[in-house]
Amino acid sequence: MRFAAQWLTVVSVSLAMVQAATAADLQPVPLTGGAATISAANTKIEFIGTHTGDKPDPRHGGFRKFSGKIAVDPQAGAVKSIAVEIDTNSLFTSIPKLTDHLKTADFFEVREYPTARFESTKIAPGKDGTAQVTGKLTLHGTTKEISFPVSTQVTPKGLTLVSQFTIERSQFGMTYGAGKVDDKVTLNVVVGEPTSAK
Amino acid sequence: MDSVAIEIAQTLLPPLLLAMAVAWAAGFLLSAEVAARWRAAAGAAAGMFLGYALLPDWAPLAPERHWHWLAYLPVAAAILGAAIAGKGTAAWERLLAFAVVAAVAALALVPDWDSLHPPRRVWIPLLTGYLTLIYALLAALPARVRGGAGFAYLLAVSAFGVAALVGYEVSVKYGQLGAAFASALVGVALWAILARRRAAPGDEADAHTAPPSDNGLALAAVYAVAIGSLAFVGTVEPTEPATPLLFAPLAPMALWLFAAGSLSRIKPILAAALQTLLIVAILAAIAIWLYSRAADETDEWSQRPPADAHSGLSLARAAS
Repeated sequence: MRFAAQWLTVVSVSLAMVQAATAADLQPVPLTGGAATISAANTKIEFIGTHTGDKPDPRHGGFRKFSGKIAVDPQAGAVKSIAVEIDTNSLFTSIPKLTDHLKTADFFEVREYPTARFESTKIAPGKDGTAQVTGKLTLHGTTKEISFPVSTQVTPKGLTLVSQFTIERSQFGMTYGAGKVDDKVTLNVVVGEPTSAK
Repeated sequence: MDSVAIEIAQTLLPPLLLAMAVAWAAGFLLSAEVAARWRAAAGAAAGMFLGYALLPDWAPLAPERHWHWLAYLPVAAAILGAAIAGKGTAAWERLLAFAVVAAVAALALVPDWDSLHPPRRVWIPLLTGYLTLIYALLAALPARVRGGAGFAYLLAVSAFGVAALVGYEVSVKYGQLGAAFASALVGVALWAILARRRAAPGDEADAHTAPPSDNGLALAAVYAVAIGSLAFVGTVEPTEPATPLLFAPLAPMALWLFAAGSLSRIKPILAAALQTLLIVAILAAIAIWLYSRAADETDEWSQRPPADAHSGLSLARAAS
């Protein structure tokens, strides 16, 4: 049990990740028919979890297989809609045992729920390329509405998008490890930076 | 007491106490012959069910997914196992009846995942045969090995081992379920020891205190379903099946070495120690097998995450 607690993942923010995803570093994803097609080749979706208590011991992970479309209004330079589908079995972390554990019934249950989805329902534009995205996230067989801020840049070369936000895993039925693993999980999405090593 | 210790106590103590209580109460509620057949199996199954019911909200009482049946199937096995443990039932009849329960267990437990390999239609007969094999080998053990407190204790040792392997290798949730069952078996064994100590030489027929001399048959049925099913669920859960887990519930088959020959004549205490060592050794060998499999994994995404000069992951890792 103690050993398992060491491997249990999930949540909290690292300032370095925000700094990592600056617009200057990103490679815009070309627009085709007013939409950017995203995948691990041009986008990364990461998560960070921490343990509760004095030693958060953050664990970082991500997904290497996903696909989606981000529709853009080129005139306004704003995002119109976002739809993403993630192969949960493509989950990875830097620790093999943790990767295996996250895939089991203790967390993602990837055999039962091999796909996670997000589909936007409302996008409220803000200032300077920012927007507030609201949509339905289906994870671990549960669909919940979430809302998160994004920072986008639409240029002739294409689209870049950066977002960092937090979800509560318990809302998606991932209740295992309460008291040992933080309920909040930080998600870091960067469109314009590939998941795979260059 | 820290939270882990509390959680361990919450997982283990209620099943243990309930199993003892059921075994004790059976002596008052049932005739001696019926109680002897029912109490150990009923205690073990009830203990596991209580352990499951008391788990946090990740364990819903009404089964929603295949593994939720792990708590219910031992109850069915206890009922049937005890019903067919009477002297009037032939061995082949017991096997046939148990195979029906095993088939029901397989129908409930084999998931309908598209990614399951082999597919569900193949796994159902395989799991039915696997559970039946465990029961057959345990039930056929001579009564002097199978009966008494020692049998429940040895099954508990094996069950704890399987629970630990599944918890370590696959899912702590599943491991907790197995530990709850193992703890219930300890409760049954403790009751039997206490009953034996209290029993005066002339009280053998007293339903309240008589040792569970023939409870082994029903207990074998419950063990086969509870621990065999747990091993199966743990095996198929990872995308790369943890096949060695399927061998773990067979560890008590080492008891066959003590069924005849010189080992069958050694003192009970020494026999119990050797039997325990043998079961632990078998489980340790399976643990090494599992560990060596994990070491051979070549999933580059697990062992070497995608990190490059621009990766937020690498920066975050450096910062943390």
